Amino acid sequence: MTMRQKMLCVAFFLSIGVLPVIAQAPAGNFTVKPADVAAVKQSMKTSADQVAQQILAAQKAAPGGALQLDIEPVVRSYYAAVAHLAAHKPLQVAAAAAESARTDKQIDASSSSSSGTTSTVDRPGIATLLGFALEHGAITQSVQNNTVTFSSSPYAIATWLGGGDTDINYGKFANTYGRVGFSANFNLTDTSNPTTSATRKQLNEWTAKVRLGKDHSGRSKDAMLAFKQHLAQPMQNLANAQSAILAGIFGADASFVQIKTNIFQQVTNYLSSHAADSDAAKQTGLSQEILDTAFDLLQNVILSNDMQNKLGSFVEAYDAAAAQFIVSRPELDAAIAALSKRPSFTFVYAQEQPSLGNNYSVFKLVYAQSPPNFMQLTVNVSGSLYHHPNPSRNQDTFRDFTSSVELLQKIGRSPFLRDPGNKDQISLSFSGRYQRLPENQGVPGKKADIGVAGGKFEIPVAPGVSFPISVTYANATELIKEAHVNGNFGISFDLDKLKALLSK
Amino acid sequence: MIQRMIGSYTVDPTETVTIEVVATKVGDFVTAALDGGPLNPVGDPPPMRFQFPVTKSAGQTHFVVLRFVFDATAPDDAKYQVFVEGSKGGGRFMDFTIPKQDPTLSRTLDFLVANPGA
Repeated sequence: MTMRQKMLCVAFFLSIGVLPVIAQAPAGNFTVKPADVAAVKQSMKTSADQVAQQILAAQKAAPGGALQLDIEPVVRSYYAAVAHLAAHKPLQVAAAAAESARTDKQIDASSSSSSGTTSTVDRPGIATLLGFALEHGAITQSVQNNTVTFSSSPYAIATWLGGGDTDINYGKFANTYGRVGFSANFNLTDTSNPTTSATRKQLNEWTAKVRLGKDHSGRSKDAMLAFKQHLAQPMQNLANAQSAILAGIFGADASFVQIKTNIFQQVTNYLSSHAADSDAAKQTGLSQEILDTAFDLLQNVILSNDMQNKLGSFVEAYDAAAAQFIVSRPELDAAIAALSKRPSFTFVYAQEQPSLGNNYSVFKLVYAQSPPNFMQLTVNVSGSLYHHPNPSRNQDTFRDFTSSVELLQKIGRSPFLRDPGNKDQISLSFSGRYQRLPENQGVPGKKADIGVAGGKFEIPVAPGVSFPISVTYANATELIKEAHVNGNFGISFDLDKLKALLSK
Repeated sequence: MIQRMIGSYTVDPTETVTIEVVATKVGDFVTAALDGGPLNPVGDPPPMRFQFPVTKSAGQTHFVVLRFVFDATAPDDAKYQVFVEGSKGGGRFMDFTIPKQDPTLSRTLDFLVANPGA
């Protein structure tokens, strides 16, 4: 510590009316012997690295923000090493380990869409921010269209206007606005209708979704119950043990404040004098600065005889709590994963505005479940009604009945993703659909019972961006009784995922 | 209450401290401990609020350790934000931000009890 820093400390404590008790404590030396210094510093290194990482990450996230310094990990690892040495136990690195993959969202056009969709089946998930998808293809239409689909939810708007996607807003809106999603699908080029401009954007379909069942997400009440059941107590024990070490050593005086103030000053000086360094160099240098400063300052802390006797049991309690926490930690993820596999029901209303033919409304029920050790199952059942049926085309108000089923399997990580934090997976799905179209009954050249079978392969190609490609076989289209095979492809942008990955 | 730096406060001997944790894109998976014992949440979350009266004498320090966890479904931009407020005024202070990538998922707040005459 420089003379200037010492004077700053004294001035600080005088200014708040507290004298540094550390200097007045009864003698009870507990310093590390020179032969053990290297080993103790080595056992503190992981914690120093973590503290440096926290500081630099906070600075990167909010440049110019206040320094976020938490010295507890370094202090704890010092005393853990000291206690282990005193007990003639081998030094160990402190139990530091005590530290987006959704495929249920429908980002592209719904399967009801008259054109430009790669999907045979609708999935129940709702985009919380904004999704959009560009697609080319057709499932049961004769015309291959290029479309763009935008999807979002009232929840996204409410949170944008009201402070972000916080637990407070989730508590207020998740069970109301969060149940609802909407999307709009536009034709980018309408090759089917020569009277329209080739560049005219045309609303092809809009949909509204309402989740009917309970919230099964990681933020639901059930998830909170799972946390309380599986992890809250081990985490509580760990927090208790951490605070017990600090309170036991530093609770009776202001010495911790003195040490933190000094390290704060050293870190501030280091960052200002190494502003131009690379991130890696800063991380290494800052970690070393924190480690050396903390070690020197902690060497001067005088422990009472009582505390010297208790330190070993405090550290043991921490080690036991950390070990229990590590064992319990996966239980929370397993419980939340089990929640997400529960059945879900979603009601979908879609209004179709085909470039050829009359507008109609689709009413659809979507069921999804991920049974244990089985593929993700999605079932759709829907009926549709013409708004203005045309009797000359054999149309009645009831347009069609459709049912479809999809089985989806995640098959592994995409080779295009370099960020280990991005958990998007390649998926492969198989689907089948049956459609009964009464208006085609008895009409020459048309078929009333249309069957579709297909496979879809979707590969994430960049953060929040995936490339779906599907091949379908249909025994007819709605307009022509002619079996055909279609290839459909697109590109989906999930801004929920994109924003999450880019903001890291 | 005076915020000396992030995570460090000077409090009045008769003050009550409120710590609020706002979770963004993650559940309220937080626990808190005060001086070696549990510090239970108060009120009806969200957000999670922890409260304690200052019971130590001038020159002594209370320690609160907060622990956080992010479940696997939380997106990478999920975070916890800590706010601290004292009953004797001074304001509501923004404190640590804990991102999902944080290496320790723990933060310590120290509350040094000031000499009332100072």
